[in-house]
Amino acid sequence: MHNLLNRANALLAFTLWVMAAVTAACFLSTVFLDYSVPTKLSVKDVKIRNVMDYATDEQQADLATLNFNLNVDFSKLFNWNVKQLFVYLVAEYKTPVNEVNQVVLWDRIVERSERVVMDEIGIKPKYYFLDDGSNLLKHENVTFVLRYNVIPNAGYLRLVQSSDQIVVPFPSTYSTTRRS
Amino acid sequence: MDGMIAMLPAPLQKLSSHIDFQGQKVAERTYQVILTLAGIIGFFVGFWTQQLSYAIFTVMGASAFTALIILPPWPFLFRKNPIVWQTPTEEQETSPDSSEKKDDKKKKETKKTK
Repeated sequence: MHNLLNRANALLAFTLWVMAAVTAACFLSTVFLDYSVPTKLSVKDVKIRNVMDYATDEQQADLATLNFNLNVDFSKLFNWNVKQLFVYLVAEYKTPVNEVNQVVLWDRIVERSERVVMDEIGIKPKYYFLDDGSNLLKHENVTFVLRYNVIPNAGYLRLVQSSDQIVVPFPSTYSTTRRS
Repeated sequence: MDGMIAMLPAPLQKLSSHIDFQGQKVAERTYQVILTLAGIIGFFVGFWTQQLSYAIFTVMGASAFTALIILPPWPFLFRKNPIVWQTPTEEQETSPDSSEKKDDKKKKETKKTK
């Protein structure tokens, strides 16, 4: 500490220590909070087609199209340790072929900002809803649930499931398009 | 460090930033206290405003403020107890372990060893 560089070094090291401690305290102050939010989700216009699936042995697979309405308020989630949310919609169902099927239909990054309410109707999925086989027809309970990753400023990546989910029965006939 | 000092323009090379021992103790205590307080206050500032950036800025601001206090060798803070060096003595051509020391202000007993 006898010359300027020594003192500057000691000061910088201690500053970094204090910043790390403040960040750790920030993490501890938010780790036990409840991060689940209620959602209003509804799924409409479900149509299934049987399409050529060249990658499989059966060569045919069920492809579902739909659109959905989503109303969810994320405001209570954004505490000082949350940077952004990665939100996605999953369709889960069981078939004779597979015990568990989970298909992600849509996702979005919700960043920290003034207003983080989502109230949209007629949202189209981003990704195909292609079944592993032809077992979506007449399916009685396909469950749609919203899950999200809470991406923190300090800490681990948390996965949360929304407290609401809906069960949708799928149609019993294929829909035809102009081309098929 | 000496190489860096040699690169400075000539008037700056004579500047020294040394401080005495008591000053070093004061400087260390100063930054420890200020930065710890800044950490605690910064945590509450960040928690109240729910912005982690405010907490970090508080700590950084306190660090810059502390740098103004402790980095320059302020005479009124850090040079109040100057180190008293003893005056150099004549070389003695007899036994090297019996050198006499002359003190200006302080008297110290030196034991003569054989």
